[in-house]
Amino acid sequence: MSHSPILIIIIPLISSFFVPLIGWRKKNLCYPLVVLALFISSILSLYIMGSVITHGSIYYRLGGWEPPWGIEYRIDYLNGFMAVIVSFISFLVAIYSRRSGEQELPDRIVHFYCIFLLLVTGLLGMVVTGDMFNLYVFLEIASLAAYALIAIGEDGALMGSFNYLIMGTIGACFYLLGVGYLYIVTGSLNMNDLSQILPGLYHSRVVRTAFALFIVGLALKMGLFPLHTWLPDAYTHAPSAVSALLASVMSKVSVYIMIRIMFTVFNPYFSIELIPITTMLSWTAGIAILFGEIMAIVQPDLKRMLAYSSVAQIGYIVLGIGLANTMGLTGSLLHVLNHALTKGCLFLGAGAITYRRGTRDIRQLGYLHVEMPFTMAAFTIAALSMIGIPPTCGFFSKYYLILGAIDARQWIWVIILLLSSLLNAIFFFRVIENAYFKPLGVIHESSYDRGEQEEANEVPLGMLIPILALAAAIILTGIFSGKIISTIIQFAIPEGI
Amino acid sequence: MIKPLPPAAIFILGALLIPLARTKRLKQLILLLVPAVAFLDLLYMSHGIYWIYPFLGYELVLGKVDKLSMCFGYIFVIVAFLGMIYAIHVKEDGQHIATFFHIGSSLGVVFAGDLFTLLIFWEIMAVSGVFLIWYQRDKAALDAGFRYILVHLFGGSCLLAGIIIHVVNRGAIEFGPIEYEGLSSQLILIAFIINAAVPPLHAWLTDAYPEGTVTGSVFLTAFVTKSAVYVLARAFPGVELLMWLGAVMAVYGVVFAVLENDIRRLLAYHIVSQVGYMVCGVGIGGEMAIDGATAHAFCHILYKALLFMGAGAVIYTTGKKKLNQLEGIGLYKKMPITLTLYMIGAFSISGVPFFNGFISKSMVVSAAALKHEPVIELMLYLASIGTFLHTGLKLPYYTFFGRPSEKGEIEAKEPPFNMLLAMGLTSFLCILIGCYPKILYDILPYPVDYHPYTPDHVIGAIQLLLLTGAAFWLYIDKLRGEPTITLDTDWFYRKPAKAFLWLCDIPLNNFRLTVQDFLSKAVGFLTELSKNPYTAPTVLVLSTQISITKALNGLRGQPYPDKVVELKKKLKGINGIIYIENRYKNPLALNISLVLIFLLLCTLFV
Amino acid sequence: MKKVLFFISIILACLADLFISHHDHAPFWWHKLPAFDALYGFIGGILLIIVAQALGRYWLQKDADYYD
Repeated sequence: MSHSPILIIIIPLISSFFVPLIGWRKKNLCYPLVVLALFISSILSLYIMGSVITHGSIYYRLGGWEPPWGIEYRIDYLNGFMAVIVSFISFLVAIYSRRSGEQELPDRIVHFYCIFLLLVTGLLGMVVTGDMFNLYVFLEIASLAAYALIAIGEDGALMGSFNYLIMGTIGACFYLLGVGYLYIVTGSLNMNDLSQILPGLYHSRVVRTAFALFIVGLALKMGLFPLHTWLPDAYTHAPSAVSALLASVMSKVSVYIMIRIMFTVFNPYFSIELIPITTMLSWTAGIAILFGEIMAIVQPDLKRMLAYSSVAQIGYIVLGIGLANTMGLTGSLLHVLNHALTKGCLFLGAGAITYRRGTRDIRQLGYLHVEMPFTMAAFTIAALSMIGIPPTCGFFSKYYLILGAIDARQWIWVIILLLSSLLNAIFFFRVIENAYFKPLGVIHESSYDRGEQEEANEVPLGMLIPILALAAAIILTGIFSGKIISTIIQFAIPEGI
Repeated sequence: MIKPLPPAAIFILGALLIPLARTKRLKQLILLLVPAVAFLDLLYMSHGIYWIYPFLGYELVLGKVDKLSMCFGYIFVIVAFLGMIYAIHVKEDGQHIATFFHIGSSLGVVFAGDLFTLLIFWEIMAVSGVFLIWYQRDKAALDAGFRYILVHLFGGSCLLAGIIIHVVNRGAIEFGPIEYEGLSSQLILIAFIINAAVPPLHAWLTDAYPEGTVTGSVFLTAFVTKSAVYVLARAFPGVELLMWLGAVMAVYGVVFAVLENDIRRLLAYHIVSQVGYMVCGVGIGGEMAIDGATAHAFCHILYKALLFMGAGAVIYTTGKKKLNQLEGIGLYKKMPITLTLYMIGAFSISGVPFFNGFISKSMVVSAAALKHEPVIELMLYLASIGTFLHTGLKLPYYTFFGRPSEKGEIEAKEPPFNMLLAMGLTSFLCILIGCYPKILYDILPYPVDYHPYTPDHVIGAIQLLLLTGAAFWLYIDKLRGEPTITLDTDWFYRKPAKAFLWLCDIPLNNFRLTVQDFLSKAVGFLTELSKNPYTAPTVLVLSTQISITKALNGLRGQPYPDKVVELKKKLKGINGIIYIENRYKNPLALNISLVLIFLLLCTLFV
Repeated sequence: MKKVLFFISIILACLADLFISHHDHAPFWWHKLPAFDALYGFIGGILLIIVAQALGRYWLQKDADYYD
């Protein structure tokens, strides 16, 4: 199994080539292939994580060539953690996508699966690689796949995708420019190598510009305010499975890259003291949190509301990075996990609602808890996690972020974090209120007492199981946060913080 | 010997079992069995600290069992059982699940031995409580529930902030007496006070309790405020601020109750008043006062549940909940049993001898006297007068009696048997404890050296009651219900909240659209330009020409009349596009400009 | 008839006070007054009603749809 780092990428990649071939013959076989490929990837990611925990970081040389000329895959705690998140959520979304795909894009399902696998390949590649340019390659693979997937969606999707395409390409170009500059001055593309060569070059203008380009490019990709403008359209109009994958995983990978660049490639000393980028990031993040939540309150469209909420949640994660202390980064990384689970569950749930009701308008969600009790229960659990009610996982990441803010003696973030809980409560409870309690006509309490209920008309199991699995995971990760932190996250925090 | 379970766990597990029960009988059996099992569990628990779980480097203690927590535990489970009998006819599972979560989490709060456990159960209690309000499903309930959850989440945030600061400063998370100084203890106190409904933070209670379901409100009254009293007694005994807050609360509640028209809101103001006694007792400190507060909590849960059951029965059978609607329809003929049982509750709350209010209320008042706080004692005494006036006289008179009006009599009958049974059992307990106070005194935290049935106490009480009654008769007409509402401190956040939401919606959106509009027009112009670069200068010249000539008031002969008209139309075309959020076609301008600005900032920084 | 009974019971209760000794637990001077509770009850009740109604009429009471 020593080839597992590369296998984790190759398997979805090769499968994505096979999907159109098989789909040409028999459409129904695509789905099992996709699920199988992602399942194997998930198991491999778990295996990798396990071996990182027991043996320490894994170094894998592509083709056996030595770095810095060869491409090296380097997996430590941070990578492994991200890889597990990416692969498992992709797996769950893939299970979900069969039914939702049937309804939303029936004649393009084969294309959908093919590009879906490419997207996952790109994401996993970004996560495991240790080479800067290799990361760009996978970044582009993932981004192009994402553009295509969004465009398959409904009415406004083409424009949203085009918007995202322009913005995303700008972001990727900035990243490439940054890599280029670094290569010019150091002659190396390997992250580990760079981290050793660069400290001597911190005074150089080129290096600093490269850093600025990285930050802006990645901020664009992850949707940090004010570079988030592509996000609402893209998330809203994409097919539900795609929105879920993008919101839960893609933005997190960009965050991961930012952490890598800020703290591994460039020293923490550089990022915190030499250039106070962390201060700027924390302020931007703070504004992002408030902005995202306020905008989310006024949206009538459920997915758009969730998209703006994602803008705010990315703010949380970046705030933790900006605080740049152990507690803050613990909160950040824990929130990466929690948000991936929570937003995944919420977007999948929104997709399920669209599947059954055909509408995303919040005002028309009445009586939903009778028609889809399990979906609504899962949605409620995820909403409670976003607000930060124990014992769901959202509470714990918020708790660590607050601790980080107190550690840094910056009370403004504490207030913003607590305020955002309340704002979250406003728009999530609006949905819950509508779905559970919307009055339908004249209500006299005795009609409910007499038990007049409609038939439950849940979504098919293929869609329901991922939603419930994520909801269960939300509660379990909450209860076991302590374990997760002590075994994984504690070691995933870059040294020197 | 079976190791006892945390009682909170019993209720939460019970909540999860409810949807699994398929038949109605089985469901009802579960509903009654769970509190019974919990009661047995309580009997098995002995004092000490149990159920310790390591978490995040600290130790969570789920079971801090001593006399104080056991006393609250007992009454919570008892009222859970009685309330379940009352609510057993409700078919909607969700209501029962929410109720069990609510009861379970309150038990969790009562037995919490450390601050984290407290926080977790506190939040669950808030969220489950809001569902009980929402299940009423009318607009008032939905809105009130929304405000309820926001106020409670605010309180939860204060609690979280306070606990975190406390933990960071002190490093320990044990839940015990907290010194009242410094930011952390103030935050925690604020959070506790919100839940105890101390004015000015009490408005959620009077707003939300009257709007809940008939059966749900019975549960609501018992748990949130009393668990707040428990935590206050545990953490802040003897804090003088509480003494004054409590006394003010007691009088505040009755003053507002004079003006109330909705029968349950009137009772809700009395909750504020009675909890004032308890908060005052906690503030006075010392053994008798804490005993008094606890005893009063115990009795209050019983008689308040009874009162809400009675009021709920009236609402259930008549569909009306306002005094001005209920007056004069002669309910006393149609619902005599309800009236009687309600009056038992009313006598209890007023402190009539042989009912349970008498033995607990006077304990707190005497504690105030013993501590030489004359003003406090008089204030509490005044509140007693007000309580009898409204709960004991005004409310039953105008609900069940009243001058016969022209409206005639409406159809009403006694409520279903389960409701009557629940009310009957609760009344029985009220009278039992009232006549035989030793049962209660034995489970109080500190040894009781108080004898309520002394001649002067009894005579004093009788005098008070009779003369209050006289005052009532004098003013009987002035006290009838009017269809008004009373402004309370929630005005401060209801009015601004509306403004805030309006602000988010209209101006911000408009602002954004205007900016987008402007930039999109700019881009549109540029695209037009790039479509046909050779005519661009002409267009520019011509459009300036047009505007100039127009401005000079009068169109002279244009060199290219058709072209000008055509260009005018084109220009109009560019300028006339309206942009809606989902449909704008050229958002890139906004995005790209933001990117450039951000890049500039980054480079400047770097 | 009921009114007469009522008045008689009030007078009895006040008189009873004269025979009960307050001195053992009378922390404050007014406890020793005869018929103190009766007086306080009556005056307190009236005061409460008047003050509350005044507050209501001039300040706090609004129409039922004030917030809508």
